[in-house]
Amino acid sequence: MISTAADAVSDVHPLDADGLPIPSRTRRHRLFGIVAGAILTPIVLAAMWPVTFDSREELFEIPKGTWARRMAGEKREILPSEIHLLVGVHNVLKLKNSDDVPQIFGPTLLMPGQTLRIPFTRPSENYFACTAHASGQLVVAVEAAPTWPWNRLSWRVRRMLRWLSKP
Amino acid sequence: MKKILIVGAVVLPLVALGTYFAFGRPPRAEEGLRCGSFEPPREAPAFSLDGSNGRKVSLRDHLGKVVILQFGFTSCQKVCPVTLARLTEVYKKLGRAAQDVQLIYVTVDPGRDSPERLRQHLSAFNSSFLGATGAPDELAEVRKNYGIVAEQVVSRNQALGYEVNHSSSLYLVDRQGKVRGLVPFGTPADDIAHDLELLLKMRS
Repeated sequence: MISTAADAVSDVHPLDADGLPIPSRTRRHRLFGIVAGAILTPIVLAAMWPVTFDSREELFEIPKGTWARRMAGEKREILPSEIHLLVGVHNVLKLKNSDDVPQIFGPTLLMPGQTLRIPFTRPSENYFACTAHASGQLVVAVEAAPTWPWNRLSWRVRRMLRWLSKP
Repeated sequence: MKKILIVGAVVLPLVALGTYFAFGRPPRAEEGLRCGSFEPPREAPAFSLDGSNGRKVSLRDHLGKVVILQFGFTSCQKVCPVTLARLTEVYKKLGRAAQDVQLIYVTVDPGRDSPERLRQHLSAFNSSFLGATGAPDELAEVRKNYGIVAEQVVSRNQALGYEVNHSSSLYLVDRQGKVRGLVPFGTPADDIAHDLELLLKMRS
């Protein structure tokens, strides 16, 4: 006798009107546990895992040849209009001009090969006039490092939302 | 033998300490600046403008001093008075060392800021603050060389007529005339004073 997969299922579980197996209470609980675990585990991890970065510096660099590409009509934003930093963890804004010509970069004029390094040591919102942005402003938002689980979670959610809203 | 060891133990560390202080490397400002720092520092672009003291103002005249370069205008209500008040506080913190620091306040509003008006405005904060103005194209050239943004906009305050949105950071120029630092608006007085002290200590 040849048995089918449907037979094998029907041996264990009763079938509903459509012929699909009705999950037992145990299976439902297990399924619920897996779904809840899949949702809660990343939330708990996001809340408990300390916020760390490889470097304290957030580097933005004008690559070599940018000026020539701009002259050729290519439009490319290097600096976002908002930069988010964390005191003591990731609190240094570093702007580097690796191009061959002087460039206005964020709040200043940078010579070829020159770097501007600004450490931020306090939570603050810093507005820099910047012609590169439509708003005419570059905002550097500096937050206190999130140390409590709820703060870490909300910081990570905001960071994810910012990343998702990037064009 | 014991005596030699004791004398050696006392004298050698003293010699090492003396050598360190006598020939030790002068502090590199970038290592400790709390505000923004440029690497490598560049020569501060030169300018010659009309000073609020009735004479020409140029950076060359202030070589040997640490220069704070501010761009603003006397009718500014939100940014410039805050920065000037903070710099007044910084000068007080520096005490006698402030004699070797010179603020040069370059106007972004030459239409209204005459040398006399600059003098009156700045002396309300500190009598040593120096204002600088000039022809619009001269000032535009200075702003371009420093990467300063200034844009005239209609003011909400009708009495003012217009305002100028402008870069609010300060530049720190060392005793040798090199642009070393950039101080973002809102930097606490302690941090500015710290950086100025560091630049003042740098050897030529």
